[in-house]
Amino acid sequence: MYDTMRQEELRALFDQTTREVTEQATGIRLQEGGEEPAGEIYTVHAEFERGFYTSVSLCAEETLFIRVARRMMRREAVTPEDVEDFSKEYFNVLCGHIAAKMYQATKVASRFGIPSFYRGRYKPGGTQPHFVISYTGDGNERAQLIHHTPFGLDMV
Amino acid sequence: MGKRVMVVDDSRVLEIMVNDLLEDSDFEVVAYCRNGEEAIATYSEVKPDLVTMDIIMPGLDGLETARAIIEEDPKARIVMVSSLAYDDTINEARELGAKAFVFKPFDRDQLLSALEQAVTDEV
Repeated sequence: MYDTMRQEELRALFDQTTREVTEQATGIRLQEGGEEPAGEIYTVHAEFERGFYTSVSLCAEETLFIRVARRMMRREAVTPEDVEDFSKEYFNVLCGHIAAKMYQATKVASRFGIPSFYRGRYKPGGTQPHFVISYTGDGNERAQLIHHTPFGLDMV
Repeated sequence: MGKRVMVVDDSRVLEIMVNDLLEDSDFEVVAYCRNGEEAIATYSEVKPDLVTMDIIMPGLDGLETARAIIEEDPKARIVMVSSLAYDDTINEARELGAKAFVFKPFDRDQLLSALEQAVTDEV
């Protein structure tokens, strides 16, 4: 996979998929650019386990994850448990679509593990950020999608 | 009485969403299972008309679970529900006997269409 896709192609694929899936699943529009998330922050993270061995995380301000839960549940009142569960499900959908696009581009079938939810920033051990895409949501929330690769893995 | 649906998904989110989307339809959720092992045991007790099956779950995944249920009941009508929308997964699901496939994120029309396709598909 790393031989067949350059970093800029991979980045473009992740970016387009993130914006499309977020709008489809939640109605929230993300625009590339903006500052780092600040204040109360959560992170959802998933590891790809077959086909290629990297991981992806979305670190964002709490307000974005609350809106994700509200939109997906179609109600205003949400609990912290709802926010965690619906954020994981949203990220599960996003990773599935990333895996599908990767398959279309490389014919490498990949799978990913069940997403985890963390309060605060989460950086998986033994990895380095390969690229970071910053977003601003249509409610002014800030987010970053981070593609992590294992230390020592040479990327194109 | 509506068609009885068993939902298999490790996340309670799907139970909430499917219940919500099937409101006022010809389908009702009668059982909910959080993993493959529970689904295999519950299927023979509940005998649902349809099963919606997630693919990525801890332990037995959705494809393995669907295979086990179909071996037990070749007439089982299973709709695979997943965000893993790429060819080899769809083909694998079809080969083992799944009746329909619905991709996340889905809306009410897409879910109902997949369930109706599974109900009317010849066994």
